[in-house]
Parts: sequence; structure tokens; C-alpha cells
Amino acid sequence: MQKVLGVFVALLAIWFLIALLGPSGDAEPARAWKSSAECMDCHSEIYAEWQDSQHSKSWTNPLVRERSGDFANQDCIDCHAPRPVFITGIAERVLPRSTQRNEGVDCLACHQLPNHPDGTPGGVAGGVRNSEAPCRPEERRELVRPDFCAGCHNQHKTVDQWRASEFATGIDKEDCLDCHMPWVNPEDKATRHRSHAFPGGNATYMLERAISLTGEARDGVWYATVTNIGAGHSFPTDERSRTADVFWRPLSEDEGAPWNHLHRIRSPYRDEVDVPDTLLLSGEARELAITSESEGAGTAVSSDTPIEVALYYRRTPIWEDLAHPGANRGAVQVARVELKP
Amino acid sequence: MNHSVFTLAPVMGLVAMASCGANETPAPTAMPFATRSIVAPALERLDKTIGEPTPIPAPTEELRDLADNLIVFLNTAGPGMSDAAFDDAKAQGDSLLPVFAGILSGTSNTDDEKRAAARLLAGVGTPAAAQYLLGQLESNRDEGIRAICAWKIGDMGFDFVIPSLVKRLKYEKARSVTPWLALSLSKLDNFAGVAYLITVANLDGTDSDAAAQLQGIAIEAGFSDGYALNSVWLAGDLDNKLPQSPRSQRYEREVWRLIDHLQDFQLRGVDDSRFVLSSLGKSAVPILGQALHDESSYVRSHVAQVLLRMGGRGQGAGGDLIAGLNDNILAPYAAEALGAIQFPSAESALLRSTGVGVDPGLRLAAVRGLKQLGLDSSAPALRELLAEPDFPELAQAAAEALVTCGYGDEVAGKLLSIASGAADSGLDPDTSLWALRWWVEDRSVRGDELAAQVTDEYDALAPIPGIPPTTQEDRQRRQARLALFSKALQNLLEGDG
Repeated sequence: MQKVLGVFVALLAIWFLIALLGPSGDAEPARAWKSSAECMDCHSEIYAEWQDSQHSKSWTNPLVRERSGDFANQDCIDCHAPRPVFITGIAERVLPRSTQRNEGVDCLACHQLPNHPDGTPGGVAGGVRNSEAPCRPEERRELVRPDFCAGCHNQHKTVDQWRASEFATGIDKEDCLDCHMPWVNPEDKATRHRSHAFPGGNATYMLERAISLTGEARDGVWYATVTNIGAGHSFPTDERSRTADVFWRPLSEDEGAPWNHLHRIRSPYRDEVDVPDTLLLSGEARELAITSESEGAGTAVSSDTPIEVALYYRRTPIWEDLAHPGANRGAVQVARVELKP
Repeated sequence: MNHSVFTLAPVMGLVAMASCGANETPAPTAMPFATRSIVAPALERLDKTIGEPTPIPAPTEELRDLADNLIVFLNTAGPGMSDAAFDDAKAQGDSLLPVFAGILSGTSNTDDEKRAAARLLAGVGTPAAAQYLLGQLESNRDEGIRAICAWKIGDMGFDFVIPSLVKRLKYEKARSVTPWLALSLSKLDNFAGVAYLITVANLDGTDSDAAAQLQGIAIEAGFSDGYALNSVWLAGDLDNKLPQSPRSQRYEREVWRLIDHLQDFQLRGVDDSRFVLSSLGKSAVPILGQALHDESSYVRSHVAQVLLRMGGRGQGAGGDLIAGLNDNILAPYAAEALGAIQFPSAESALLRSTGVGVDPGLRLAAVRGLKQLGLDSSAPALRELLAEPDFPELAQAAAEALVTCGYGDEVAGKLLSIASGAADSGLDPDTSLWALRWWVEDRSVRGDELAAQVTDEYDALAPIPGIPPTTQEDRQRRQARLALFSKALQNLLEGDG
């Protein structure tokens, strides 16, 4: 009888310990999440930011669809609809997923944790641990590290470019999140969060912040200098279709006057073996002699002629109308300078 | 503190454990999927067997003079005499290779001299000479030289050059080179270049060299024309009509090296490997089947993608893919690949993988695999999935799969409804539109004039190639296509009678 009682007391003690030290409160285990839409109820502001971001459009963006042949080129799927980074491994290359591709780089791609060894859902990663929230976020500091972005964004060496820049090595360090996930409502503890709009090359203000364009006369001819002052990586970076081109034309009242192409800033596609890589490194200043033809060819333009110089950015390298860059769809004038004698 | 000593968690846990799985469909099979290191040992074994290439000493002045003399002789001798130059080059062996390569990449020789050097380089006839030719194909900026290298390399008979030639197909832009790549590949019993040759022949016309080469390759392979040959290659040569030589260990090593690159971080190398491997013949398939069991999840998943792109030629790895349905990482890729390779006994395994309780990614991929198989017998199970309440994406995929299984009439209305409401449901409208496009084209092939008209009107709405549409244009095009189907659907279904 004493033995039975002993076993009973021991079981009671184990039960007590489990209840005391085990998962908190109602102790409902983390559930499996299938879609970003499920995050919307609690995180409506962040969800709305993400919906406007390029991450949410990485599968549906018409430019991507056109370039990939509606993803008939399956090589693009890896990064445009990735499996969760925590599952494939931080700083490891991502793998393509099968479900919800329409959501592109979705909430789960960054926040879903791997299942536990027993197969139960692993929950989600967040900035803080919160056992009360329905999604039971675990605090995972990896989320804020550049390595976290590297699986996709180092495919074109953007993270390596950052590592080699003053932004990573200088005194005032700035990383991916400082520019691309800035704080929203930083003063309000209740609503403060990192922006999930991921501003980048799609935001004109980011482009303008990255580049300066200046000019001067020297020895009777004009020179323009384009400098990467604000990007902690090359400009442009990432997708090879992104292009920045410098143009000039005589200063006039005629807004429709044709421009002359001066210089292209771009990393070539892999089959463009004869095209040089001219990306502007972080902090690099590149001086360009203003000449009658592209890339320094032709004759130098006299500094007696008043001219204007402009830098246009596009997400496709093919100009339909090179003489009127602003007329090409999606072209953004990032910087412009007037040079007068 | 939020913990309660009165919690019933342990008891509930026991109850939950006891009842767990009562209503779940079992996983595809109970057999666990074992992985091990496969690629590295295979490469190690082959490296050991084949051995390192013998280093070629720096060329002497005497060798340079000999090379110059051979070039002069080849360029001046009559047709019957040129063999003597090739015999001399062959007799000297690999020692001449750096000399010829130097001439080809230098600036002091004439075009004629360089072309003669390229031919003599091939004439050396050793594996090292073939490697030098591959190097020129990669790097020489003179397309005339590249064309000679592409032409000559197929005559040397070394199958290990096949992967490199296939890769050149991807990157070579000169229309004067591509036909020779295709010809050399065909001499080595690889027909991946035929589709490229068809493209060039169509651009250059029926009287072109490319058209003549296409016809020559087809006849040599036992076909009436290039199109027939290409169809059999793309369909997987299920009846073994294409010539297939046994492959060497050097070839096998090249295949393993490509598989090894599937682990690279940079997708550039991975993409190249996926392209080349999926363009190889059936002889590569047993190797790919082995690689499906490698410990690297990148190797396993990308090899499955390679087999998917291979289509019917990949059938030899069907058994390994079915086993891969038990591997969490590999399973969805394996499921889609099983459909794409048209593996005869895949249907039952795929149907099991669509069951409730199976991982959602695998369920979806299995339905996509069934869509590729397009078997009438899959229809009942797919119909059941149409009503999946918590998994609309699966229901959508099932509807799309029913189209290829021959039941497009049954689900056309549902697909139109899905595509129309996709903005609210979070589903991809385009996949359903593509399924409807497939349906009308299939009907038009069977003589339905209205379906043919709808197909043409649908295609006429396509964006201009090379000019990416704006989001607004994209939306308008989708709306126009939806309107097209909405207007025609009733008549299409009634016309079916």
C-alpha cells in the first residue's frame, strides 16, 4: 500500500513540476501557419506595409513574370517564393516552396521556425518572446542580422558589397535594417516596429539618397561626377536588370530635346560576356568626361556650352527610346545638375 | 505567474497522444528515407581511377617553329596533303597544345593562321586537346574560331565534352557557332542542340547551312527530319529509337561534378548545372537516381528538379523519386518530377500523397504531379479535393489537374470562378487562366471552331515580347481574358453537346 501511495505521490510531484515549469498559461502549443493572410488579423499595420512591398510582389510583379516567362524559368522560383529561411538555414541558399507562391517572399519566409523533432509546429520567430500571443513568437536575434537576408540578397553579392563598405567597417555602422527596415513610430513603445515595406530601389527617395551628381569645367571641357553617397552596397545592386544611366544634353527651354547617353552603371547578365561590370561601389565617386558619344567616345563637350546632366534609374536594361529616357516606362530621374559656363 | 497547478495539460497530452492520427491518412509509405554521402565518394573514386592529367611542359622554341611550319603547311598544301600536317601534330601530342592555344589567344597571327591552329589543335586528338578546344569555345572572342572548335570537337569522340558543349548552347549567341555545337553533340549521341538548330534554320531559311545540318543530323540518327528527331528527344525516347553509346568514366565524372555544383551558394552555378544535367541523355539518369539519396538537401532537391525538366528521359529514376516522397525536403520536388517524367507507376504514390494529414506542400505538389500525368483514373480523387474547405489552393490545383485528365468541361466554370475571385481569395488567377487556355486549345485541336477562336483571341492579348507590362496593363489583360472566357463559356459547353 505504501508503495502504491509512493508512486501516486511521485506522479503528483511530476505533474506539479510539469505544470510549474512547462509551457506557460493555457499552454496551447504553437500551431502550423499556412499563409501570410493569417498574420493580418493581429498585425494589420505590418501586413499592409508588406503588401505594398516588393517582397509581397516577388511572384506577381509583371516585370518578373515577363522576365521569367511566367516562371517557366524555374530557376527564379528559389528566391521569388522561398521556403522559410529558418528551415533552409541562415546564410544558406534558399530553396523554392510549393505552396502559396502567389504570396512571394511572405511572412513565413522570414518568421516561420522549423518543426520540433517530434513533428509539432515550431512556431514563429519575432523581435520579442510572447507566450500570450496566438503565434507564440520566440525571440530570435538572427532576424536582424545581414546574414539573414543573404540567402537571397547575396546571390548578386549585395551583402558582400556591404561587408566591404564603410557601412560595415566604419565607425558609424549601418546594416540592412537601418535603411531597408527603418523604425516606424519609434517613440511609441506600443506601436513601434520595423517597417515591412522594405524601401529600396522601388522608392525614389531611397535612390535620391543614394546618389549625388555634380559637375565642373576643367581645361575647357565639362566633367560630371556621380557618387554613391548613401547606399551601403553597390549602386544599383541585386537584380542584374537594374540599370542606372547618365545622360547629358545642351541646356534649353525645349523639354523634349533629345539626350545623349554618356555612361551605363550596371552588372551584366551572365550571358553578356563582353559587357563590363560598372556597378558604382559604396562610397565610390566616378568622374565622367562629357563626350559626344557614350562611354567617353567622340569629342569632348566644350565648357562654353551650358548643359544639363541627369541620372536615370530603371529596372530593365533595355531603353526603348534612348534619346528620351524619361519617356521610357518605369524610368526615374534620380539626379540632375545644370552646368553653366 | 501564469502557470496553473490545476492545469490538465498532462492528462490532455496523454489523451491527445492516444488519439493522434486516428483520422489521418498515413504518409506515402512507412519506409524511412535514408541519405548518405554519395557525391563526394563518387568523385573521389573517379578521380582516383582516371588520374590527374599529365602536366604539359612549357613549349620550346623548337616546338614553336614546328607549330608555325605546320600552320603554313596546312594553309598552303593542297587538300590531299593536309593529312600530313595533322599526322605530325598528332605525333607530337600534348606538347603542342600550349603553342596552338597561345596563337589562338594572341594578336600577332592572322585569322587564317588562327583557324589553322584551331584545326591542328583538334588534330592532336587527345583528351587534353579536347579540353583546350573547350577552353577556346568558352573564351575566344572570334566566332569563326569558336565555330571551328565546335565543329572539330565532335569528331574527336570524347563524350566527356558533352556537358560543356551543352552549356555553350545556353550562352553561345553566334548563329554561326550554334549549329556546329548541335552537330558535334549529335555525333556524341546527345540531341539537346537540335531544338537550337531548328531555331537557327527557321531564321536562316530552308536553303541555309543550318537547315542542311539539321536534315543531316536527323538522317544520321534514323529520322526523316529534324522535327521528328526533336520530338522523340523531348518526349524522352521511350521506345529507345535514338542511338545511345556507352559512356566513359570521364563523362560520368563530369556528371558528378555538375551534381556537386548543385550545392553551390551562388545560383549562377546551380542554374548552369540544372540546365546541363537536364539536357543530358538517359545515360545520366542512373547517376541522378543515386544522387537523390545524397546527404545534401540541395543535391536531392535540385536533382529532382533536373529530372522534372528532363521529362520522359528521366523515367529511369522513377523508383528513387517514389522513395523520395518519404523525405521531407525532397518530397514536393519528387512529386512534381514523377508527373513530369510520366513514370508509369507514379499515380498511386501521388494519390496517397494527396491525403489529409500529409504535409500541405507535398499534397499540392502531388496534385501538380497528377496534373502532369493527366490520367483519367486520377479524376475521382481529384474531384474529392475540389471540396477541400481549408485548403483552397489545393482545390484550385485539383481543378486544374482535372483539365489535363480530360475533364475540362466539368471544371471550366469553377476555374473561371476561381480566377475571377482570386484577388479576394489570395489564389493565383493566372494558373487557372492557363488551365482554361489549355482546355480551349485541346478542344480546338479536336475540331472545335469556337475553342480555336477563343484560343486565338486569348493569345492576341499577350504582352509585347520584351516590353514588361505595367501592373495596370497586367490587370487589364487578365480582366480581358476573364471576360473572353465568361462570354464564351456557355457556348463552348453547349457546343460540346
